[in-house]
Amino acid sequence: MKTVLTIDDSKVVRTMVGRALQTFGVRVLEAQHGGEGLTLARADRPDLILLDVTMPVMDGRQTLAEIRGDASIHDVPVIMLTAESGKDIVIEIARLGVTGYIVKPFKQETFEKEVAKVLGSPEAAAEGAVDPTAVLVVDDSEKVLDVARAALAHNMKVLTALSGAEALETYRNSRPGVVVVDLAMPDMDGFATLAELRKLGRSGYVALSVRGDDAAQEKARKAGYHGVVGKPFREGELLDHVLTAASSVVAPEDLVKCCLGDEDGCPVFAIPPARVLSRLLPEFAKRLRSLAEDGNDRLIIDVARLEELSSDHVTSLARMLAEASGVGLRTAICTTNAGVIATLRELAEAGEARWADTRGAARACL
Amino acid sequence: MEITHTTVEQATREVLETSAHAPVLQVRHTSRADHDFAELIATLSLMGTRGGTLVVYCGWQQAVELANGMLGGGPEPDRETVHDAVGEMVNQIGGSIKRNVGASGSEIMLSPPVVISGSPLRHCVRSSAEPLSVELETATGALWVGLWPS
Repeated sequence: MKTVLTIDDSKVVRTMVGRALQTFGVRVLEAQHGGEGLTLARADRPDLILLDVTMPVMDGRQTLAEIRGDASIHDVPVIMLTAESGKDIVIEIARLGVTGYIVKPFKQETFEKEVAKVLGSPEAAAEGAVDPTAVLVVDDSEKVLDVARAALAHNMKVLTALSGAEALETYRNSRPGVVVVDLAMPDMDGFATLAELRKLGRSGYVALSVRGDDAAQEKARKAGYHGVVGKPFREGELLDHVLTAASSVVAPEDLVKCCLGDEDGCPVFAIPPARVLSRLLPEFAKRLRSLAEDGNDRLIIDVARLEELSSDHVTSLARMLAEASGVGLRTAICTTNAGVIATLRELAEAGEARWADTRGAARACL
Repeated sequence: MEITHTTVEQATREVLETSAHAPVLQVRHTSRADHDFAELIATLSLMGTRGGTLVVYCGWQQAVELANGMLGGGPEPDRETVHDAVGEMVNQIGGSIKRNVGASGSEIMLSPPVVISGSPLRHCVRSSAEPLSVELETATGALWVGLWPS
């Protein structure tokens, strides 16, 4: 699914723009001034930014200059929305590298025509949506692909490719939400592969690099990878990076699906990194209700990958446990880490939960 | 090009019909400077060589209906949202006037809009000129727009 960031100090205009974008079937992010917009743009790298000219804190001209000066987002198309369309303003924003402009008040057809220059027609934009539950892993080593498959298959549909060329072919056919790419491959390396993948669609990207190669990892981030995992990697480490990258391009309701797995008929929620988890809580609560409505009475919360709990994790877990209990689900928490257990035991909401070393043991004790 | 009653009318009509989806049923050109029905006033300055003060007056319920039209329906907008909507509307009217008279930024620059609401409201513009005022009737009520040329 493509993402559009709208930056406007008027909530009413942001709502109007969001409504006008509905035909494109895109995910819409909102910011009320340039500073907030830059933060969101750097975190999510949208496919298009719709930018108001006159705003407090940081106006549209300053924001556009910042975008064009930032290597990580300098090539994101920007369409400016303005109530003024004087020749001088148009020349000024054109000089700053604007992709187009829309004059307010705008008619739906005018808006669609301008936005379609970047996203393609509404139909094409909707067709370009990625499969949020699929991940493509690209590495020239069968052994690495096997380890990655084992790490991710509980949560996502795993596709694999042994080369950059094979990856492009698989991507065209399956449009996975996340692509994990080895940086050091013969013929087409991870940088060339990423450049080609980005021409085909917008997914989350994770690089696989030799552990300790800081220069390659830095270069990968600058090239547009959302995260870098050092090889050899732990299973949980790869899943965390994949979920974090997915959160940049996948809507929360789809991302929850990637975190919810199954252990012999018992639902398992694999806890993602804290910053992803906090975004998912409202959707997680909805999923819990539907699990209960579907006749489930058990839930495994898998925190086995976490070596320690951040305060955000603790807050989120307390809410999750309370919500699970609220809809009548018995819970088992899966971890062997004594520090994590000690922290969780302090939560009143964890009083009813059971504890287990593995998912299998957790299912058995429920 | 001179700013006239027609310029003000065309700009307001464009904004009402395009942004608020409120077709204009009737229009009157006047030079009235005050309105008894006003419970909300939105104003901005057109600064520069061809500037002036632009003011939109309307009743509160009409402002709510216009905000609703801009938002595409849904629950009744709160006070902050109504102010936001009518502020945006006066901004768009100002931009449209500027565009319709073919002005450049050095000739006309728009200030940020100011919106106040309450009852009773009185609004004074320091100008010796008579306003170019236009009263527009929509299905949900009247809207009065005045421009005092500087």
